[in-house]
Amino acid sequence: MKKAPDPSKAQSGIKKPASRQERRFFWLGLLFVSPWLIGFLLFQLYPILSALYYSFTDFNIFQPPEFVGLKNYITLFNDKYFPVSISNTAVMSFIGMPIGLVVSLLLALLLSKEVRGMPAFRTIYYLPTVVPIVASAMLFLWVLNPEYGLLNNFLSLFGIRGPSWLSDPKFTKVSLILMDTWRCGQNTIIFLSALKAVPQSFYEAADLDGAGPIKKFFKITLPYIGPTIQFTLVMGLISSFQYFTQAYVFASVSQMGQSITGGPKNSLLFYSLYLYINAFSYLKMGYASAMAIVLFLIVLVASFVVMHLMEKRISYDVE
Amino acid sequence: MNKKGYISAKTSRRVGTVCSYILLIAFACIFFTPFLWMLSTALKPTNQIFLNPPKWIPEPIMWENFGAIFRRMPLFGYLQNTLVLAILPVIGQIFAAPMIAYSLTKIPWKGAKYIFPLILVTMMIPWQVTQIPLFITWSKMNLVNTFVPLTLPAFFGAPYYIYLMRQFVKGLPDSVIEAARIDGAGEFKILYRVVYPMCKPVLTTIMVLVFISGWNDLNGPLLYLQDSSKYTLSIGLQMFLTTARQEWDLLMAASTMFTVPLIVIFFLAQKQFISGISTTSGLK
Amino acid sequence: MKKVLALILALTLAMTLLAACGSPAGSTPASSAPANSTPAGDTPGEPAGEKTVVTVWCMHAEDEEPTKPYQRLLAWAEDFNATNTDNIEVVVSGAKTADVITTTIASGSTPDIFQNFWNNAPGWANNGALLDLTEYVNAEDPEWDKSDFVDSIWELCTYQDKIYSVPMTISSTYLFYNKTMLANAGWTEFPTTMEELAQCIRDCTKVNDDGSIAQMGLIPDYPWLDNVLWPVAFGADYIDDSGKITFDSPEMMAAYQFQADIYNEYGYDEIKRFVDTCGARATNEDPLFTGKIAIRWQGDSAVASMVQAAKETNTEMGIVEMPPVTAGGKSQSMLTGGVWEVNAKTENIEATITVLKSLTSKETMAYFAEGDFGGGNFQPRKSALTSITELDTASDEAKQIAVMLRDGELHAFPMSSYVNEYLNEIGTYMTEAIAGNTTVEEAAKSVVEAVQPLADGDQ
Repeated sequence: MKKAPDPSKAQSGIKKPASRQERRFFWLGLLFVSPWLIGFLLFQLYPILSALYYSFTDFNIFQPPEFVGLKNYITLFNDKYFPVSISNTAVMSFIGMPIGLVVSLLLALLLSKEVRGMPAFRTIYYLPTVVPIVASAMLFLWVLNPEYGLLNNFLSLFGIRGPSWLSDPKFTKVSLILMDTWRCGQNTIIFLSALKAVPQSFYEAADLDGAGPIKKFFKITLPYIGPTIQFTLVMGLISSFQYFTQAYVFASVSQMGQSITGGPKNSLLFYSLYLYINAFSYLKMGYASAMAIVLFLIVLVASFVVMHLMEKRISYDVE
Repeated sequence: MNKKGYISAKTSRRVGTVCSYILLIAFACIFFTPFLWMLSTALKPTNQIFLNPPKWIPEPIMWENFGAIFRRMPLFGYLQNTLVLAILPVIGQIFAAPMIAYSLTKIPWKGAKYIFPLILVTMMIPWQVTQIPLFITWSKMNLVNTFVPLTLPAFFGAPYYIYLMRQFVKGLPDSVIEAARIDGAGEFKILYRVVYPMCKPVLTTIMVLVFISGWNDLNGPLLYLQDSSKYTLSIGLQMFLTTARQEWDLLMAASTMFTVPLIVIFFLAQKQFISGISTTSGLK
Repeated sequence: MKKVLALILALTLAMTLLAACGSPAGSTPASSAPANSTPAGDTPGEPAGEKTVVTVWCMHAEDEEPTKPYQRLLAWAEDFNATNTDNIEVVVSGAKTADVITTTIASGSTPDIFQNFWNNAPGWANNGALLDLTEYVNAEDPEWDKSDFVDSIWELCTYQDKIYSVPMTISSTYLFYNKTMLANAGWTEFPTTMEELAQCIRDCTKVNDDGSIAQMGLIPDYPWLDNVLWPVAFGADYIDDSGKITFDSPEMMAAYQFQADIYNEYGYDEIKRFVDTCGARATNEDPLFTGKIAIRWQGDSAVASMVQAAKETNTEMGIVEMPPVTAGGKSQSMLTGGVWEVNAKTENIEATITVLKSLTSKETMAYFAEGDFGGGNFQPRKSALTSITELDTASDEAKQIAVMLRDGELHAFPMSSYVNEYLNEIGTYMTEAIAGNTTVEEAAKSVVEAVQPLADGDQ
């Protein structure tokens, strides 16, 4: 009776030559991961290396790049728009994104109860994500209009004078956070399928012990959906640092077509938007590539910190 | 447990249910209102769109706005193209993601711990700087202005879905896999006969997500499709935004029309998400 | 899961079947407009003969409405393909955006001709992306007739004395005003100088007792701060011949002081709050038609909507150029427009130029001029503008604008490789000046400081 050996439990500390089993698993592992590997080599390696190379050059897209060493990076750290683009992005990543996650989780908890009409509710919460992002940005531009928009009209029912959501620099990011939270349906669904996978038996046992809902949540639910939380958190970080489309639509509304700016008082100048402007408007692709590499490093550190912090605290195998 | 304890548990459950309902309905109203507004605008005559205070029910109800959209763009042609771009990637991801996730979590080989971080890392480079080199790659292969750049990559897996699957597959009990290996099953058999069935909820989730993402994708088609005959619904939707006189009523009508099929698919596929298949042991 | 899979497979099958027996692969279903040209690659069984293919990309949406610019463009292409004797085939494609065009051009010779924003030309020209068109445009060609173009439109096409674009559309911004509101304030004729305009604005502004505004004469940066309109109207230059940034010239400062004065007099917060109460522009709720603002500036592309809204709200509306600074002077209007450019990597220059000339010929532009005015399609040829005055389908206001475009004094923002940066810097600093957070002088000097290095680099 053969038992599949666990390579991590090598006996007596002597480094054994790879056993036949290990070698077999190595090739199988490689084989199964080969689709991604091939895709990576074909479609991603060259663009990524190019971006790295361009960051050390002056590249205007149409002519061959000119090597300039670290000039782009030095200019970037002295760029007067660099700090504001980072702080704007940080607001979305560290305030907006967590708010979205918390709301998603709350909604998923609500939806996981066995109440009637569940399919309808789920569909309603998911609906906003299905509307194309540009169309929903335009829709929200409208909902947020100070004069004829829905939101301020609603607030006025309570006698509150709503602010200029779109032209007051203090509120432009809030507008974006509102819209993003409206579109949190995707994470809600992901949390929901994770919640449904928690075995009922655990909750029943806890009920017998007289545990209240809060205790049940923190001791059973949260640990069990740990992997999912890690997933949404890391994905959220990666995508919020690259926040672009919504900002692009919102910012270009305050300016007709031709030159894209960063919204009122640059309150909408997110890092990715500034990157885009440098790449396609100023034709400074080398500089934009340097910006990309810097962003990449920031995201890399942030996500791996989060991942490692969480990996230790979640248990995958709940046997 | 005494009688008193039993009753209060039941009452607390009832109270809980009522609270849930109230919250559910409240949130549903908030979430649905913009969509209702979209629908309302879609049916308005032009001069009622910007009224303040806003008018909810248009008079007269312009059902013909929906018809007008058919006149303005070749809807069926766009629909065909969009379906190709939505469906093929689904097949691609369903093929690739489980396989890759399985390799990363259940096959005991050394490479796994290096490959997974690499996969994540590729997501961290902003598209603005990789767009041109990638375009040049496809251009050299003479595949620009075809559907290939928009469908083929799905068969190689995409990080988001790989990661999603990985979280799920990692939580599957090793014992089941081990037992199958002991019985002499090959890895492919294990993947398709053991793992796939256990992953139904997450697979259905991925199918729906990929479909919706393909359906709504704008940047890809805009860049890689050059012939008008290959354009998609998302490109068509842009039309109402780029004209100097923004036609809000038609834009909202078009948006409504484009999202309805997605809602239908989601509604039908819901049950599969939620058929709570237990991922822990307990019954072996 | 099986059900969903089955559904999807069924859909795919159905679609493939539809595609197979539906319209021939590659062409769009017939529409009421003149037949679309089929993309070159899919032309079935065309008679042999090496056709040179020239691709033309525009930013128009691919609208099937017959009067829209896109359909007119398609009709021109079809006509060209049928009648040209050089064995050229034109393929038209729409719905392109700026970064799509940039990416595609960077990687190859497609497209040959494309629409672009005027402000991108210098940057692109500098980087070798555009074909130098000087010799082609200036060549003796009585039929194409370069002099028929509105003279100043070439400002948008010339960079460092070379011509890189051919004009596609022309557009300016004019003052639209509510005749009744002006008459009530004692103005039966529109002001004839900037000073009079300032007075007129004061007369038309009504402030409530608590300081809030009931009615505004004119809000200078509504709907946005336009950094070409006002400087041009005041006769200011952005840069002089020696390459010095002249943003702190007296004329320029006057242009912004005019705007700042209005804010200073009535209060920045009050005006902003008032703007919040204004309805959607170019609709019946436009503040011009609801008695909120007496005069406002508006690009000519919205003339059709404005005319219709004026009619529906029974408003007597007038359109006029920005008044000159001094009495008896000539109005200076800003100039902008779309342009056609040629890919430097184009494979067949001669064929491309032939197509380009046909695209911008007198006949073609006159044909385009008959189209929908909702899209603001004023063509930059004097003959085309004149033809508008003879159209039944054009409103009186549109005809008036056509004449103003044809005969007026128009100036554009100067062409340089740092156009976008210059405009952005002006926006950043002058917004503060108008809000009263800095003086106009300080802000102007900051702009000069920020932009001069860029100008020096452009020599």
